[in-house]
Amino acid sequence: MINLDSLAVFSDITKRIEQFKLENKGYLIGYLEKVQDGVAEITGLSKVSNQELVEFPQKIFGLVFNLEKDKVGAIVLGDWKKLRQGDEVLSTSELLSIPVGEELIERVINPLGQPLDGRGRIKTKKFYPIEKIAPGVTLREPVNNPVQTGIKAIDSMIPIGRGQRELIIGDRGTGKTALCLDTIINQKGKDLICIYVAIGQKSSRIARVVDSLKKYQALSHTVVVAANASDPASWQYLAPYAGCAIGEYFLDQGKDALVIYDDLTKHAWAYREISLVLRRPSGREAYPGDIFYLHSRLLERACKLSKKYGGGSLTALPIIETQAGDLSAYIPTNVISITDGQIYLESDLFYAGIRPAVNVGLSVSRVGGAAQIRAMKQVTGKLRLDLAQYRELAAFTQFTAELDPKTKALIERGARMVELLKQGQFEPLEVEKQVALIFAGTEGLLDDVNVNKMEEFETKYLEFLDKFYPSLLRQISKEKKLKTEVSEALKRAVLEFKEKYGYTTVDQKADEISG
Amino acid sequence: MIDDQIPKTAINEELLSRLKEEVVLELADKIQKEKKALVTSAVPLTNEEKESLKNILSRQVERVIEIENLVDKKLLGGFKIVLGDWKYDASLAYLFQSLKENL
Repeated sequence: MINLDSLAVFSDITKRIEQFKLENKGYLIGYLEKVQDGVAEITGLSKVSNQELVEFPQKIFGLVFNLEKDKVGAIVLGDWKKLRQGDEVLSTSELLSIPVGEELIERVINPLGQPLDGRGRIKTKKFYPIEKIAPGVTLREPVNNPVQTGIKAIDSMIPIGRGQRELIIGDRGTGKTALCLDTIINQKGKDLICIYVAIGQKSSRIARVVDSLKKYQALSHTVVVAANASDPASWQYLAPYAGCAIGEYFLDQGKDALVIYDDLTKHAWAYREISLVLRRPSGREAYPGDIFYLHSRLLERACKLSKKYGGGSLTALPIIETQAGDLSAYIPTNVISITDGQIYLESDLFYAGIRPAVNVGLSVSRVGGAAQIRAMKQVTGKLRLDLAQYRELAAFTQFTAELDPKTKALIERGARMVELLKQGQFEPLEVEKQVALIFAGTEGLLDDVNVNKMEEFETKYLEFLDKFYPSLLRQISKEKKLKTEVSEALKRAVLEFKEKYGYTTVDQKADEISG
Repeated sequence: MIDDQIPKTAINEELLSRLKEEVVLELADKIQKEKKALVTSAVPLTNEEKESLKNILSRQVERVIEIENLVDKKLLGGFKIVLGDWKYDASLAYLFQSLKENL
């Protein structure tokens, strides 16, 4: 219990009243004509500018969206049901900005920066505008530092660099969010600050996300910005820009930040809703004409600043949900063309038990290769090709019994690599362990291990390395490349392990079946 | 009872001097056409008060402005001016409201 001294409270209030000084100030005003679905139409308000903040009674704010002759359209940021016709609307000559700072870390906030987690006021010192023009060409430098997602399939084949924009796309329930959560969890104890922006999701889902972040101690480097499905469309529209503004604060501090937009499909829906109510001309799928600009100006703000400008970075991982795997729909193609690559998750793979369900053929990272550590590059050189060939051959040979030895070897290798890249949720792996595992696979050291035993092999082998060769792992993570003696030692370690735990012979029966 | 405690005059020198500093002209585009300023006060304005307000406003807009006076007891004290799109609030009610929001 807090013991409140009534006299102290009283004197404090008196002091505050004494200190308060009202500035009588002239305002330009307008009058509320109508409100429909969170969009207000206002007459008057001459000289108001676009994207300006306007104030309704009861401290409800609005954002100017449409400037027309003699009237102004504004989206209401708050409970628009409280507004009445004829209400006075004040222009504030301010841009919409939100509080930013380290104080937001570990908190759950709404797009206006108000806490949603019931843990009291957030005392921030700085404000950042929600909309900002992205840094220009001269301020940037190419990505050169990786975001370690801790997911084998991604870190090896679709590497993401700090400052990159990598789209995560797939049908509902293919593990898009799970993939992002794993990435956040993997940043535990590292120097990347994560911002998770939930747009138009069920509150229960957001609660679950926050819970799992808490459970894996990943909330201590994470800010959650949430605009639930039940919040007004204006909030859902603002949420990604708010998340981006928070990220920009860390960027300006010279730090590295990662923003996850989950998901931009719902963001586009919210914007479509607002635009239709504002009577803007609609185009394909009823989206307004500037729907491309909506996402491009958001994702352009992700960047890697050059040393001269602090060297910070802002990585963006937008998520897009497709319908029945349709990559060529309007919003997916838009965002694919804006981003520096995409990770395509497929439901067929997901239900076949290949998780994460990354479709290696359709997933690319256009700039991340430069950020990958040398050791990883050394071991994954052939991985993509091996897998692509495997997919092709596996489809072909489903009907053939007889195979030439070379084809058979390729298929065997591919099957093992697919097994090797499987990974459970909430089990991110350190990069050196990934290197050690993939090294064993690409060197063909696992060709004689039973496919069904791959999972068991993986866990036991990593335990074995931890126990007997920790220096080897340390060396990889320190030098970030595989020297000849290290790879020799790794090879010996695998052989020794196979010998010791009896993985050397392929089970005759299983061989017949798979053959 | 309460009526006795409300000041009988709406305007004092301090409020007037503050109004003089206000720059209306900058915003004057829309206000240009307006000839009449609506002054709401808690108690009726005296002729003197009307005259001084008229002088100040006319000088600021560089045009002769008529003053129309409305009485609204909800303001508690002071006055507010509406001239076209421009609003200037120097009422007690506004002061209390701002105080409430800032505490």
